[in-house]
Amino acid sequence: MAVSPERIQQQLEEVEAAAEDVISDRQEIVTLDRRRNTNREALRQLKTNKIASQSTGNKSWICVGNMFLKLPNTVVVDCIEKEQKQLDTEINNLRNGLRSKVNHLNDLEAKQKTVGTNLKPLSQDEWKAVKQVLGR
Amino acid sequence: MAAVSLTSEEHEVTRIERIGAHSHIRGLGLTDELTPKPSAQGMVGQIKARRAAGVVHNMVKEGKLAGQAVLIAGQPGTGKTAIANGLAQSLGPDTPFTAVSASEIYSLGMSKTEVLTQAFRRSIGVRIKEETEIIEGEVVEVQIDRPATGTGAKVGKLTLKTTEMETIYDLGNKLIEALTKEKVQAGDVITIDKATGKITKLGRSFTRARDYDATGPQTRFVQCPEGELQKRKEVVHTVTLHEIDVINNRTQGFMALFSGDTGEIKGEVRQQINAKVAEWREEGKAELVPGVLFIDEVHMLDIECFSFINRALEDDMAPVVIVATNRGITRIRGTRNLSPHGIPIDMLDRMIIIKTTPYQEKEIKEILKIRCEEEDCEIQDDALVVLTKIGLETSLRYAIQLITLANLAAMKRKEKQIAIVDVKKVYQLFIDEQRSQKFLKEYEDEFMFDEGTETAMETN
Repeated sequence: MAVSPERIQQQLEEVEAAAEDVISDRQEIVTLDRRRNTNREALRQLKTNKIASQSTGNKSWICVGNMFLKLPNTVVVDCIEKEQKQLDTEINNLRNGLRSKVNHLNDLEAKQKTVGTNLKPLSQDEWKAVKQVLGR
Repeated sequence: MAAVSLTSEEHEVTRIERIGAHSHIRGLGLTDELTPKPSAQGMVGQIKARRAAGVVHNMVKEGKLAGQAVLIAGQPGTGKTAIANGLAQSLGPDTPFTAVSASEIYSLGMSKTEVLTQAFRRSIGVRIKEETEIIEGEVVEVQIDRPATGTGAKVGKLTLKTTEMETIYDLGNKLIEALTKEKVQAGDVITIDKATGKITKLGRSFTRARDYDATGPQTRFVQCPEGELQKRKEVVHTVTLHEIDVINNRTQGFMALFSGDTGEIKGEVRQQINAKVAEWREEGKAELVPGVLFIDEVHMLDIECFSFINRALEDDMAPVVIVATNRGITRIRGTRNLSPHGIPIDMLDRMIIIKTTPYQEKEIKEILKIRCEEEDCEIQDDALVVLTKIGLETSLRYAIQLITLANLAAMKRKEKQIAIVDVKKVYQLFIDEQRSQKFLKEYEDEFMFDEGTETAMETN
């Protein structure tokens, strides 16, 4: 079955685009996770060093873009926590989307679909029950 | 300065794998378009039957054949069990494949229907997924401070890194205990389950391999993890319905040992499990994986079993049933009626029939060559030709059995290869079925308790 060079090029382009999509999604997850970790460290510092921050009058410096702001601790903590939640949802969305993108890529590359990916996961209790049943 | 691994009391135990009659079969040997290659994956010839088996394989994979029955019929020594084995291998470890011989049904411990039901439920798998959030990374530094006063909680910090990022975690009491218990050091690659707080050591990082001159025998080296620290891990499990039945049926704990389990599983237990699995299927949490139940020598089943199988095939959770037999027109067990293959006609009607034909000379030669390789014997070309002729005239199985015997004869002569003289010798020593019958007819008077000439048992 002779396939024209244009067709081959088109297929290669599709595969490359899909792969690029998957890779960029993964990179994005990594960046968001990095941000999440730094936020977490900051939160931890703010919470444990509450005693130390008495001297600075309940205010801390935060860096936004290229500005430094001095804000009361409660506001800062709220702010960071909000951002954490946002990051969590972002990462979850990306991961969910990633699954279908990887399936699409596997389709294009004519590889076997990873099995069982369209299943919804069992809840914690259900899984504990199953583990007990199976004795694992 | 290489890392020396100290020898310890631990030694490798080689697994002795028995070389069975069909152990050389790795698959069906088909191309992507389901055409059988003349000799591939251990299967030789039998083109039509293998092609049909390939179609069955694809339908099983797509789940379309559930509740159907397939019959493989042919003379003895034509590769029926071999095709079933090839099908099992090609379906892979994910699809449940149960092979039973029909005579296993007649056990005194369990009723026939129970044995059949268990066999059926062993061939149906349920796929479920477990999802956990884990933190996976290489330990850069573990710092645990015990308060100087002796009372009060320990505080600790754990620095974890991957190839892309690094961060510090503040540790709570439970995690500190877990870390000290696992003896986590800098350079270990660990996994922390976020939900349970369990710590698993995956190994040591390669970059730290040269830290010490000598490492223990259990040390594994793994790569530093990539990507983000907090990953979502999904594991897909496939369990058979029978496993779930058994454990749900067992009474709690030690009492099972004393309660004299008959091995029969109560119907209510099965119904409960069916209901639960159906519920999960509705919610999208589980999938059914219909597998294959292979019943060999199916002419040994009696009429009750056949009626039972007829009914069981109509269940919505039924596997693909593949049966094999080499009988021709025989009596159905449990009745006085004759029927093709010893199977009632209504059941035959529901079956897709695959026929196997006796092998040709070239194919026999190829099979013998494969068996020689499998049994680790070297054979000279002319000896192989003689063996092929023997296989043609007597039977394939007889020729295969001669291989190991001829090899022993060759070893006795202190030769590595099997030569014609070895083949001739074992041919004289071990007689095949036809010569045995002839011999018996001639000397029947001299055997004990002989009852004169009777028609020999029909085996074709």
